[in-house]
Amino acid sequence: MIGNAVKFIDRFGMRGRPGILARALVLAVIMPGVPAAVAQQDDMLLEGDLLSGETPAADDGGLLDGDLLSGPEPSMESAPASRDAMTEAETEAMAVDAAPDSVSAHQALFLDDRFPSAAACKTCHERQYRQWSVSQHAYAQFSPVFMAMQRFSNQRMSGTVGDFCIRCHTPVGMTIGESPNMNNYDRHPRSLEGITCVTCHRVSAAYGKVSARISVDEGSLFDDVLGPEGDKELERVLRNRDVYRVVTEPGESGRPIHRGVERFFPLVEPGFCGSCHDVTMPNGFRLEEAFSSFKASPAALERDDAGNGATCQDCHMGVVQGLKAGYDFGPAAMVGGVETEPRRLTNHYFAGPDFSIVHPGIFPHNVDAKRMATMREWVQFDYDAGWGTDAFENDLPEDATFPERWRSIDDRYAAREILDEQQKLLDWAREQRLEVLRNGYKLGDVTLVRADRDGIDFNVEVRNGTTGHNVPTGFIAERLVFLRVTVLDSDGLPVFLSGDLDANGDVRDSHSLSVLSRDVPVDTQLFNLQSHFMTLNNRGGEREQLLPTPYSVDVLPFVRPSTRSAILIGQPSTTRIQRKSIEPLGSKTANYHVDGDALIVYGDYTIEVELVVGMIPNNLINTIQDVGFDFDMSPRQVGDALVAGHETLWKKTIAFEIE
Amino acid sequence: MGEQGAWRRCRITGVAAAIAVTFAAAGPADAGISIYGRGLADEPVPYLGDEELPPPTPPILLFGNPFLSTGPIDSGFELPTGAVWQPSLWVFGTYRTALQSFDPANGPRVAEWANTLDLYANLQLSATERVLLGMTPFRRGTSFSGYRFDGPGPDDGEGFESFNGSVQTLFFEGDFGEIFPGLDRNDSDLLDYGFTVGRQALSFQQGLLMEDTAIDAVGIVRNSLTAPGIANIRLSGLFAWGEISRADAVEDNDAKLFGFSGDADIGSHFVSFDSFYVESDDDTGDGFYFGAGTVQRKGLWDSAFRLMGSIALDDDTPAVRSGVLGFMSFSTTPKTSDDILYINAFVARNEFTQVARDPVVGGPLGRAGILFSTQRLGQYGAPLSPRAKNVAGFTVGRQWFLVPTNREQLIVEFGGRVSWDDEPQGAGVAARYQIQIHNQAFLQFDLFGTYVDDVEDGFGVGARSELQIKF
Repeated sequence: MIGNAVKFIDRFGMRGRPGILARALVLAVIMPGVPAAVAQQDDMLLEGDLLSGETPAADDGGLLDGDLLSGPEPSMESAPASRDAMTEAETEAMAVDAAPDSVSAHQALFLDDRFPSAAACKTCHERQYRQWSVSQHAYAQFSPVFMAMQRFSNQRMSGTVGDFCIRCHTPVGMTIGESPNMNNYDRHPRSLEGITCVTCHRVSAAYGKVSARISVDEGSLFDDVLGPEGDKELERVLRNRDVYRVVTEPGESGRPIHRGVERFFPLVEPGFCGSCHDVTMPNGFRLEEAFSSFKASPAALERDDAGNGATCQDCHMGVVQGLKAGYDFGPAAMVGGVETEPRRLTNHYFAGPDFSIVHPGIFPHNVDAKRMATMREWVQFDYDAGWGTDAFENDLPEDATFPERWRSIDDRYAAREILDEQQKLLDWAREQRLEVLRNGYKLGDVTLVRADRDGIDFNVEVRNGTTGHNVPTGFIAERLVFLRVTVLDSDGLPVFLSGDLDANGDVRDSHSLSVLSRDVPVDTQLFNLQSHFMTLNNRGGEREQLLPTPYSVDVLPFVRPSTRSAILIGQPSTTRIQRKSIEPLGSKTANYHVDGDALIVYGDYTIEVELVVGMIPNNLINTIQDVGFDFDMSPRQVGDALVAGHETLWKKTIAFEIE
Repeated sequence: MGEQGAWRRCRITGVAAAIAVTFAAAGPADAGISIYGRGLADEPVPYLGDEELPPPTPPILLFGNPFLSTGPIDSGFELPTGAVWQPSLWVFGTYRTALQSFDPANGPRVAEWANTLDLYANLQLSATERVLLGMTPFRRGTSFSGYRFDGPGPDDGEGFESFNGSVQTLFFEGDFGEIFPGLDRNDSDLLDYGFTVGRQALSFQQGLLMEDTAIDAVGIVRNSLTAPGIANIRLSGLFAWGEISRADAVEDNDAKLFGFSGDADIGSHFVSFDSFYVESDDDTGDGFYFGAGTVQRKGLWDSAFRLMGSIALDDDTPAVRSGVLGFMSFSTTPKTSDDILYINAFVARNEFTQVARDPVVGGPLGRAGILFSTQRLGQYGAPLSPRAKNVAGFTVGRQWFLVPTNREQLIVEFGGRVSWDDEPQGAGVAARYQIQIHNQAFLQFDLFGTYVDDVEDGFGVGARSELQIKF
């Protein structure tokens, strides 16, 4: 009955927001006794029809786009407080659920009462949602590289890695029992939200360095959330329901809102971050040590005049990414277009070195994008070719063919409009990323030590600009931070290169495929802050490996609790990380020598130095490619995207003459 | 053994040695199946999911939260200190069973079926706090349950049991800062002191300096420290008061052990230093021990250099003697393979003795190669003596990874030792083949042939097959 009614609405062209509102009205009329949340979910279950049809997305976009991504909430005049208003809010959340390709209706319905979507929070917390939507937290589960790494690890360790890695990346997905190996196409939308709102604001205990094995409290949108400042402001909002038009019970007419905010001060303490950002495997292997590194850092130990040290949040949730420079101030929520009282605002982007390599129709999280097409459909949209732009569409041959979802030129234009907004958000994220990286890494002096006919000697200083932890930190065994050094002669021809890339997109270190196949020589003067996994050889010593599977010493490596005290030695007997990071405020100096044989001898020379960061080396992609990548990405696509994401943080040039 | 038999064994040894040298010397060659050298595929690779990947392999018994498995995690309870504990009990272990014949150059032949089971119960309280209980129900000291077909002693030709109900491992380890988070809400008081107390296995300098499986000890550790140019520093203090099996593999009830251990990541080097003082009665003697090592990679070669010393503070006794041991290892990955080509070498002046060692650990030279290590199962000892007394030696070997998943491997090794004392000197070749037969089990086959100079019947051979099951 419900389905027929909604199809009727669709048939009469009531698509986009009018259609959604109409469908919600139908539901409310047909099911007056059904709690609103359930009725809304039924609506969601039917969204598939709308989503998979040939709805002109431009209709939706015109109504929704700007509001969701950048603008303030519509005013009360444009968003009347009624069941419609409530439906609007919830519909956005439901649209998120409707997009994935194979989620059972019952599962989706069930989960909304357990773990509300970030899109539901977005209704009032637009600013936070927008920052989060493009963050690494939001990207955590989407990452094809991560997914391949953890499946590769399970393949090589008899499945004993289990959900160790992915528990951090999608606490909700693991809590609901999804397989760690499941294709992202098939995951529940809540799972794909990765580190979503509830994974911090519904965690009610300070678990300590627990490697993300936390319990996420279950509850619907109406149940309490946790915040650092308690519910004083919420109580004021609830006392003024006529202004804010909010409801706290299912079935009531109005804008749904949580009943309370439980004060949970650990949210602003470093230890809360340490629940995930200090990763130790049960066998004692310390995979990530960001929090431990912080605890021994000047940032933690030095106090300001008020006796406070810096916290993780101070530098990573403030106005400047990577520096303790204060917080924004403003309303934490816009409830029905009315601002709440100003307070300290935190940045929920949490800039870091990672970036998205997936199709921009899939990430950042975007309600419109999810409403318009499924992930499988988005990956078919060739945005690089210019689909949906005048340049492409006006020059289209008559016999051009497109995937079924993108046959309509209107759809392609609508999709392009969404993608343009996505790109704006990605560009903003890139600026934030560069800010945190430039605050973390400093390029010091380039000092010419000697330049004569016997050669050139010079050195380059790289400094850690932070007081809070080593750099790189976190997943240091895969973080590329290297110097690209070029010495040019008076004709502009290079006489020396270090930090250049091989044919595979890697620096020429001892893991470069080109070096291993002896096609190019190893870059013996390479300066790279990437740490490396070290595994024990069956006999003798250790060797560097790209992944920490100790298969030389054990043909059947298992992850089990260490049978000896791992704390005492600081590592299991078979695996460790050779840390090459720079300590807080410390520095390292790279020394370079250009042999005299490479010089023309007399004339002008230039030394160009770039400090470059990369997310993951391509040789790792080569290693793990056999398990395949999400979103139908080829290993080459992944590798090219990683190289395209290399960023030059700093560049210096010095010129000199050999007389 | 007649002259003809000896000649046959000599030829076998010689041929095997020649093969080993050939393989090892081949060095960088296009051998083996490898992940390297292919480059990134241009087309999408089929996505491997649950159907293609190994199923989860949980411990054999579970109580409380799952072990690295999906599903809700219990929120646990909060201690008065502010710590949150989520207790879970996981029972796991390894069962090994072997049929083996060990006929060393300078000892009697043993043919046996031997078994051992290492059984552990891990009570995980939080990510950092846990209690570990361990037992070896089929092993008592150097005696393993099984059946002896041939060999010295009264057990010849009959089955024997070495059931053991005693606790081999029982310790608690944790982190002071994590147990008392309320003392440092801002995480700025440097309370991250790790500690361990109870009966536990201890190993230092990769077992060269100490390798014992059950010592009653308390230790405290500070990690994640930094200094200019040093990315990480770990410092540990240790005191042990019981179950100390000293270098003669005899438990010294009067011994007390004091230790200091540290390591640091300095540039591309991992530098470690350990020192121990053992105080005991006049019969076994006091000893001071030290070990220092550095591990690094230069170009395409990984290397490790270690120097260890033992100083008998009274007279030399079987428990402690004065001597030094230098140990170095080099390894590389041959061209277009993932294999390991390794060269290990050692030299000892006087007699270096370990701080403590389990009786099944033959001696300090075990890490030099499969020729110098025992199987730690039954009476199958080291083909060449692992004793470090006025000796120099080396091994050259290659480990082939025969399938891309590394679940089928072959090691062939050649090595020898020379002595300027009355210690045994000789050479040999050994091979080890391992193959996974199940998600939780693999087979291992070992073979060796040795020749030891200046002993009667100087040829030694051994062969064994082993099934190992993990759970």
